[in-house]
Amino acid sequence: MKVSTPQSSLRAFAVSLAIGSAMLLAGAMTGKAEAAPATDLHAQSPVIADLAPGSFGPAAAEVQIAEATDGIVNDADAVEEEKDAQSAHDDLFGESRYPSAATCGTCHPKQYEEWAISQHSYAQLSPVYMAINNFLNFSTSSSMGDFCLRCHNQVGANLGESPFISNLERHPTSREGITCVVCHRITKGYNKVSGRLALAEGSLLDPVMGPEGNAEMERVLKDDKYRVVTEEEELGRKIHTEAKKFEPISTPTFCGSCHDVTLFNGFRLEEAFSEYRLSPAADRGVTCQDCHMGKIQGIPSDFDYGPAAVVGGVPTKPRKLSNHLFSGPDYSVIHPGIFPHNADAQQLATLEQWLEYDHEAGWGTDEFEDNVSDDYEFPESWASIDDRYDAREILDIQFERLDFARKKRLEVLRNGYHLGDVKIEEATDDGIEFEGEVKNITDGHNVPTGFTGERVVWLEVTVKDAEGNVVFVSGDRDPNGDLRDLHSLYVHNGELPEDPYLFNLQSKFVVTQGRGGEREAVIPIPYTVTALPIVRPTTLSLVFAGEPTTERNHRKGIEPLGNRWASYEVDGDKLTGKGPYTASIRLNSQMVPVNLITAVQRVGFDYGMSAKDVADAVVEGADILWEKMVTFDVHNESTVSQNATGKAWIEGQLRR
Amino acid sequence: MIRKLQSAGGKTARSVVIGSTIIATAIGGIGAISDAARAEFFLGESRGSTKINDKPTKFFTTGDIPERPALIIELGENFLGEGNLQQGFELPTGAVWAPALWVFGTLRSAIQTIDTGIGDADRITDWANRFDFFANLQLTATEKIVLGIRPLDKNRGGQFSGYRFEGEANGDDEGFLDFTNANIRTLFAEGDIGSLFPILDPQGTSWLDYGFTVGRQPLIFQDGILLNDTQDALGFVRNNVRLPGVSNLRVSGSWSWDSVNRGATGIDNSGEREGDLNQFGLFTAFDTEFKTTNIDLIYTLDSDDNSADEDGDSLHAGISIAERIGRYSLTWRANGSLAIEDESDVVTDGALLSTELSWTPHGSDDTIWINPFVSLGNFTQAGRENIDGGGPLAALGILYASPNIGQFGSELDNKANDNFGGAIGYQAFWNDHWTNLGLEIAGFKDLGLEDNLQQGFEWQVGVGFQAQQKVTQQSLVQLEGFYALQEGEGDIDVDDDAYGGRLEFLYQF
Repeated sequence: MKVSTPQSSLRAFAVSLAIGSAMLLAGAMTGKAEAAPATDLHAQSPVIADLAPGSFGPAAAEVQIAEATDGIVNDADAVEEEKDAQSAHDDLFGESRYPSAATCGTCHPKQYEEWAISQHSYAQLSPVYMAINNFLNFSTSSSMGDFCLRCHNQVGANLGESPFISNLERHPTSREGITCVVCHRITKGYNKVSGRLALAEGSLLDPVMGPEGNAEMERVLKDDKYRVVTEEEELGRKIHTEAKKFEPISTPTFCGSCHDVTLFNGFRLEEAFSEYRLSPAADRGVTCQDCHMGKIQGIPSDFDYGPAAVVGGVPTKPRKLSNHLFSGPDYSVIHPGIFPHNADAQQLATLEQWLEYDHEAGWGTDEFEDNVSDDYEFPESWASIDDRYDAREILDIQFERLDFARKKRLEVLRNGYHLGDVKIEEATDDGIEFEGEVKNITDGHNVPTGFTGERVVWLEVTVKDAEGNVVFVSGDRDPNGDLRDLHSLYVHNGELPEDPYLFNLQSKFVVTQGRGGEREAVIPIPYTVTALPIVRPTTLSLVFAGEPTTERNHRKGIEPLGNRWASYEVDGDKLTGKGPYTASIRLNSQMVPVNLITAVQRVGFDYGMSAKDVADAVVEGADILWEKMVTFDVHNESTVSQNATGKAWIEGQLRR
Repeated sequence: MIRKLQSAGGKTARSVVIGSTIIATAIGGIGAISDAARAEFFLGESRGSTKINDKPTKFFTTGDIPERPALIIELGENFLGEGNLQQGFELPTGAVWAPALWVFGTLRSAIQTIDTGIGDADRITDWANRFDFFANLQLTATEKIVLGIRPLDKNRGGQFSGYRFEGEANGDDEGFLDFTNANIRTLFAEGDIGSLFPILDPQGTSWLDYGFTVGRQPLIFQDGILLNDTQDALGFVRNNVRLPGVSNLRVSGSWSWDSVNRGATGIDNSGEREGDLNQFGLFTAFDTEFKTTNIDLIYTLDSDDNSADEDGDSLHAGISIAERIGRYSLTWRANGSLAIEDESDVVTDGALLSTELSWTPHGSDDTIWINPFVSLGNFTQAGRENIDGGGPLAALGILYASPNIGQFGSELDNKANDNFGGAIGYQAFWNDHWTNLGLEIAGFKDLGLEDNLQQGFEWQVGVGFQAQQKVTQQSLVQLEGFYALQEGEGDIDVDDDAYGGRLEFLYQF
């Protein structure tokens, strides 16, 4: 086991004090880790049964206290000690106000593990979000303030953390982003507040809010086999004093408190909840929770049934269990030692140390370690081969968890988008014309929804002749990884032509110009109107006007159960005469465009990442949602079949 | 098919743009464009390397990014500030209110001189001040009450506190001017029915989230061309209405019952507000794959037989289509006014057709605009604020727009009265966009098709510049100047060219 540095030890110690107090007596969670992800898209989280907290759960914190103490004894630097002590105090203080998910995970391992790989838990760790937040403030005289922070990191905002500081400097619970208390320590129905939620402060012992009420909690409190206590000074397994029934938590309105985002200047950034309220799903009474907290991501799919908690190894009574994965289009682009959340990883090394661990070079694998030269220079933190092997063991689990998260991401996206019909308008020596249909197969909201201005969902179309020569392409990338739209730096700078056939469902932010109408903008700051863009409350009714006079979102998503057609034309002079020609039509999804990264690179990225590091990871995470192959025989129509137009055959191919 | 049209439209637009750019280059000496060569000149700062940066750069954090600029008063909780939020209290309606009072404003102070060249009018040089001061009582994220005053001016040209160095206006000669007041300019409440009465729909699954507004407030539609006025009004809005092929449809309706300042055709806007009429509006905006379309209708009911000062009913309509074709941004607008009965001082028949075309030279964030227009008849706005915004042409060019402070009006006449013209301009940016320079040539000529009620000029052509520099976190300075050649007609005696310049300091509280 890796020996922690003094600084990390103290921090770990502080966290462990809070966690450990609840966990020292709670260590009865047993079983072997079975973290291998299911291969079936509809499979459930691997952690529901036989969860082994030693693998990635919070129980690993049990051993932290002793190790942390070692660190204190060996530290000779008084200044650092004082700083660390302050940090430890801050951490402990924060934990007493807003308990960490790791604390909750002690008794709620299923929920913790689902959450730990979710977008909610990634919300604050995202270097893309951090750079956007910092760039917006840099460009607006900091007048955006904590606007972004309030949705991504309510605990950090409530603790008074600066929106701008690195995640390496944040309180551990703050790094957890949308952590347990963000939903379960809300006491009132705040409605559409764009994430500005007033969390109820309190330690683990204070009441929590949930959908079911206190009956089971009362039973647990009275049942001696759980050995739980509700007073700080009592010996025993500490637990909430009450589980209050909070009906709003089961309603779409509750989700809408963050998933309808309007700036104070009236800019409607996200409208998922507003879209939902007018949807057929709402008419039918299907809720956000039905589709996004059930067994299958993206459709009403019933719920798991089991214990909501495992207290000291003893499960509570079975009940309906909601899924806390909340899969969506985002994915991690940061070091796998940092995300997904993993107590073992946190115990083994600090974030800074994990950033030094070069997993891509193969550290901790036999292949690397057996062949590494003696003069290979490792950072001090990873000089020990045992540490590197320990880290690799953790990372192997992390990769499996990330792979599982990706499968669930595909699940929700495929339940939203569908590649429909392909119509062949013409297939002759004079050219080929065809259309592809993209459908929204949900009835709950548009697709894309939410942060639509940066969600890239596009068709990648490549037509080749029989020898494999490309005769047509659309939806391809520039050297930076961008699509060839106006936001591509290569197109913007005139080094590549714009893709005239690009089909992309990404909405576009548009800013008003001083004169000359509007212009598209990656980041919607109206600097053409004023050299002093600054956010203040709107002074005209933008509820009424619907948007500010300076910027808006040109939305391009598909309405519920709607469709769009993409048209393509291959000129006859592009055809090589070596038919038949084959078109590959792919519907792809990427969480953000590369141009967003280049637009905000001015303010740098957290974790010491370069813009290219971030962009490459974003591109690597892009998914093919659906693919179809179309063959055009331009000479002999009689060989073409099984198509609505009778001129081609279409082969659907699902790349699951 | 749509894409084919887009493609065809792009070729047409490109031809227009290239042709227009030749004119821009000849006149302004800037913005030589060659789309084919893809090597374009630009004045401002380069966007930098095309290739994404593969080296880690400094992560901006506290110190690199300034602290949040607090408002004048922040009670309840800070405006976009960190820290614990209020728990709030629950109303019987189910709404949770957490009141916060935020007081803020914009202070502007300008030294400016202008000679309109009209008749015996003197050159006016003044130091004028304006303070837009607001108190925002935020009840929830969607419900709020806004109170606004302008304690240093009375919303009339020349009625701004300060000092007049030369010239005469409103009977005041040189000397200090005091127009301090506590008149309420803005007082409205807005909210969302669904948020205000969650008890009616606890689940949030019904069509209850209608936005509403009531009170005295600015209303701006068609970029101020159709309506740009502060009125006492009630309005409702419905967002995200579903239609096949439409990503977003917004529909809103309004009723204004007082404080309506109907658009005037004369060179002097009377500024008299009418309290004896009703104005009804229906406004729609919808996004489709390539376009955003706004269709707006306003009917003014002002023909009460019992009223002695009726001016007649009128219908005003506007449609705009905003789109990007290739690299070119285009906004097409058609606005019209129709006097239901006889034409009068406040409503005449007419239409304004305009196009706003812009694009960015490769490699920069600069922008070039070409905004032509033609006005058939005498188009009148449904409502027009005395000072802010100006006439219907204000949106089309810097030189058509007033700075809205002191006696310095729009450099060129901004009415759409049987004329045609346009503006060609260039704006360059430096220093993280905190420095900009706009250059423009604009003008118009009378079409001579109508007997204008109070037409002032046969033609006008002006050149001007506008430079802005951010000075501190919350302030900027702006320097402007113009020179215009002109010829009067009708009852307007134009003796000379027009010119002017101004230096303004702005502080945002």
